[in-house]
Amino acid sequence: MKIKALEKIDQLVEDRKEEIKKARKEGTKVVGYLCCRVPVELIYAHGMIPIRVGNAAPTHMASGKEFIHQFTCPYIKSVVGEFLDETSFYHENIDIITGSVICLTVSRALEVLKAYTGKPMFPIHLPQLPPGNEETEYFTREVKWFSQELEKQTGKKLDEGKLFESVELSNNIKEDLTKLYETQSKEGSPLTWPQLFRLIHAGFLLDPQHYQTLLREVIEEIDTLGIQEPTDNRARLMLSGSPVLPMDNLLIDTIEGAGGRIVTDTLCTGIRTFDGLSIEEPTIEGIASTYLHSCPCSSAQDPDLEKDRRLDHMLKLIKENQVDGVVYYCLRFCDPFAFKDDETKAVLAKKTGTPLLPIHWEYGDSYGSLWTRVEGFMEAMETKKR
Amino acid sequence: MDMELPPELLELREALIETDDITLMDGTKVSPEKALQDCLSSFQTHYTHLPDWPADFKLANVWKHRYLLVTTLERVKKLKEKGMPVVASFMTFPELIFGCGASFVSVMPCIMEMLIAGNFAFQQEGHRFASFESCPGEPMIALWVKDGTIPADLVLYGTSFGGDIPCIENLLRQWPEIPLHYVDVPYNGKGKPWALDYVAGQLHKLAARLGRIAGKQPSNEDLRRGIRMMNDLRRTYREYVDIVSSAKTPPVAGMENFLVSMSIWESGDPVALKCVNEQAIEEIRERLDKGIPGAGVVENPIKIYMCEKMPAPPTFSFVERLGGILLGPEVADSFYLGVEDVDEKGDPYEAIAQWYLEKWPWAPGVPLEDRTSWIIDSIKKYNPDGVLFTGVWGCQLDPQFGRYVADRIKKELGIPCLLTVMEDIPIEVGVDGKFGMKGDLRTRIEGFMEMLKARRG
Amino acid sequence: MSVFAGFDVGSLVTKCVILNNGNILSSSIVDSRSDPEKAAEKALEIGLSKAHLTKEDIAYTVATGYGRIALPAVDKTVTELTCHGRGAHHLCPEARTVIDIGGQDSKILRLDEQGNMIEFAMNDKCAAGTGRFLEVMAHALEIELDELGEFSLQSNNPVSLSNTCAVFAETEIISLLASKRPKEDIAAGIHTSIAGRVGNMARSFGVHSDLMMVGGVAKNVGVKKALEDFLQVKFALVDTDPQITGALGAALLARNSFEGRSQP
Repeated sequence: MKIKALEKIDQLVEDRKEEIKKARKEGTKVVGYLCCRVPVELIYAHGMIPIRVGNAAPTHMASGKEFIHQFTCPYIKSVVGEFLDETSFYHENIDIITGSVICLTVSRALEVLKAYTGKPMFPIHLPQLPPGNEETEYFTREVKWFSQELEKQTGKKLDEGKLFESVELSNNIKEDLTKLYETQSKEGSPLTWPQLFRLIHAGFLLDPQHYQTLLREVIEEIDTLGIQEPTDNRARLMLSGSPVLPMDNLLIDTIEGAGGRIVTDTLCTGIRTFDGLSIEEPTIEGIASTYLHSCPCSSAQDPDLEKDRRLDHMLKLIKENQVDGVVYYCLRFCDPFAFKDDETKAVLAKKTGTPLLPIHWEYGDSYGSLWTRVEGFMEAMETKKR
Repeated sequence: MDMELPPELLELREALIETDDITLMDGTKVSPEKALQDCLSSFQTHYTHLPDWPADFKLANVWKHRYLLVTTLERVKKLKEKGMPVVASFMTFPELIFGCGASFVSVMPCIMEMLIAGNFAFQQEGHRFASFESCPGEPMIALWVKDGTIPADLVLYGTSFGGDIPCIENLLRQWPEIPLHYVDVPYNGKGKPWALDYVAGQLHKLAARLGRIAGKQPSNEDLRRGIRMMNDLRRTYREYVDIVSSAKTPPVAGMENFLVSMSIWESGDPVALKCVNEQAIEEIRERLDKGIPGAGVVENPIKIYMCEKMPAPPTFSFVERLGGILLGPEVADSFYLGVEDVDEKGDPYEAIAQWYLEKWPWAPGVPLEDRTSWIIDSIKKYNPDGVLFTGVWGCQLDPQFGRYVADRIKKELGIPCLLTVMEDIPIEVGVDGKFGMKGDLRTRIEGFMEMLKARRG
Repeated sequence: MSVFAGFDVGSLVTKCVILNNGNILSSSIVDSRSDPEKAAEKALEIGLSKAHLTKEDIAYTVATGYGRIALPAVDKTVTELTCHGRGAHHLCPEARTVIDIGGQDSKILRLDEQGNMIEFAMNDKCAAGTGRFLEVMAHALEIELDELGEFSLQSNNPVSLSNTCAVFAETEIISLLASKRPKEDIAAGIHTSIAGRVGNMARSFGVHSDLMMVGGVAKNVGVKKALEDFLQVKFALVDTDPQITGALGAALLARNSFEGRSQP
């Protein structure tokens, strides 16, 4: 359904780019980051502007591979290619590079970006194991170090009041996104998952105040439109797996075009940007603890399969959203997700009986074969139902 | 058993039986005669492709490295019968493993099985277990642990030891009876006291777990003994590198050098390895004094340093035929040499943690900038004509930064660096399992040699 | 008179150059897919007859290309990397960067003032950015390979191909044809795709003028133009057929070896 507030996104994003250029001229520093486990609240509190890097999926893959090898996942190749393109917005406007390192490929990408731009880079290592006291102690000090490095960049101490404001605003945004997420999952919702996905990505760039205003407008409009009478009986799908870049619409369009309906995801460019990230205590300790205890991606280590954080989160979302099937997206050379496809499939089959379709994929692989797989998956689900 | 030996081996046997015994970790002695016979019988029955390396039979003591290489699994089983726990690990904290009175098996026997026994079906099985995109050797160690070929009491794996390795070992959690132990070594932890505390704390837990398996909790002194075992071994290797790198005409063949340098990855026995290294060094010095070059090595050859890993085995003798020699590889040099030894005096947990966080340049936790500076210093030692950077298919950390390393080598040393990737081993070797230099790798290496020769003028 | 022969036994065709005092007396190109040895013999025969010479006139031979090791009768083999460098330098002494796109691979070479190769890069093990890729795509489009270049110049609106893998790109082209995209736009898209692939490799290397393009694909005006657009540099103009550059380099090296000059 048409939602007017969403039509403004492109314009808002363009305006924001100009705004950022202006802010930089006035001395504000811009921090480009990779991975959804970077505490953006802290960056805002330092009076800096965080931008999640990575936009158009296949466009920059070819140039990226000249800096980071062909055998790197397409997500990282695209990000590197786009960042190192001297005419790109990122290249021109980012002063500091950071990223949360849980996937080691991210660490290599950060190093390559640092080496070929000469910009300062501060990586944060996120513990791989399920958090205990040692992990909490370590990560708190790591986040403190990160904050101190930012202080050196601005020349100013971290202001507690600003941190409080920043955390509060961020929590409100996350609350709004949670609400929208719940709405889109309902049958007859005027808001779709692809629309919300796009809205989430706008938040990677927009000013948080303006972003919240936009979210409120969307919520208001949706409330006015109300839940409609469901008109279809489409399969309710979860999109899980490797990162899906903003603007990488082919897979999503294929799923929806082949008659499926995405109602939830586990993506680092989707639900995991806000789910479980509400910060209770507006301090560095509180921030570190929240990020540490949130659900990690497949790169994390859970030697005990029964207590796997990622799988537990997935199962919880499957139940909450009455998911019929999972499309599990494995980007080429994304080892953490690609290696665990069979295991994930087996766990879901055992625990909830939810079928899983693994799609091993490189940006731009054949559209036809993708369509065939997705459609076949849904036909098989249909047969099973009957 | 007696078998008919080709003439060049008969001569070698004469030299070999004159040398000293190998002393293993548990005090057992192996005579050179037995080492040679065990090698040859295993070559005849299992490693049937080995005689394809005829150029590399000259150094007598390197047969002992070969012996350690082909008997890893047997030796580990014997140690286990004597009550020594077995750790399956990708060269993760050997100081601590040995200090706790355990032995370990690394990925190398699997690589042997695939590359030298030519068991490519096994490799395919490994790919099916993990993924087609995984590295060629690593899934197989997981399979061997799973089916009991490696009698592992613990599978030890860690963050800083490759990209896909944690993912592969983690697949073993589907069999809860296989005990897994993970150590998280932070990326960029250098100079961060909290990172040191974090890793040292995890090492305490690991030692306690190994202590429970062994039935005896290790003391600090036990761990220092483990550290000394590895440091002693490193010293012999450094001495070896000093001789080989400074010789205008190396007294070893490329493949012999490869066997000596890579044996840490397979032997799992630092005592035995130190012993055979010392014996080999003596022999190499003698050859150097007499001015005998390595088998198949020309006078003042074109030297190529192998950065990161090494190309497929046939490349070694191929380069020699073209008038060059492959030296290194970095993957072994960095592990032995590091920047310095693991500290033997202070708290052993902190000493080991610090080495892995800061001093082992190959560890992905060490920032690329630092590692590359280390590589450049290391290359200077060899003074090579060029550098060959080899990434291995599926190894998610190695090929990725080849461009950066190559750019710095060119800029700071003014020598060319060729980037290559070793893809699936059957592709490199040929599906029939026969070695040969084929296709584009041949053109790349040959073109590189032509270029290096032209540069010498 | 000392006459030298150079062979470039490629994956698709074999080239032969007959040389005397630095002058190309004749050249020939024959299909080499089935039997490289026979192809070389035939190429030599044609070359000699064009130059009105016999086998006995040849003082020294050098072979290059993938099939070089399959020729037992030559005096010496040298890789096509060095040979293309030598050939390019002979044709255009100012050339410092040489792009060679052949049947099976693409290469970038850097040369010094004497035509010595000082650096090179080759494509990954994949048909993307090679002559083979073009051949597969021409087949999918049902256009003769030699006509593909000219044909693509008619396009004002090249398609954007997302695949660089030859297998997937072929399916992509079939679906583009099914959606009635004009063939010339697809052809131009194919050339842009190759230019991106090879051009990025050249860029990572640093493009040092003068830039020269050699190898069979250099005959395709579409690829050449797409590469010029991508790199924002014009290629040096050379009259000699770019496809025989490797064989020319081999013949030049044959002369050097015969005269005991510096080794490649």
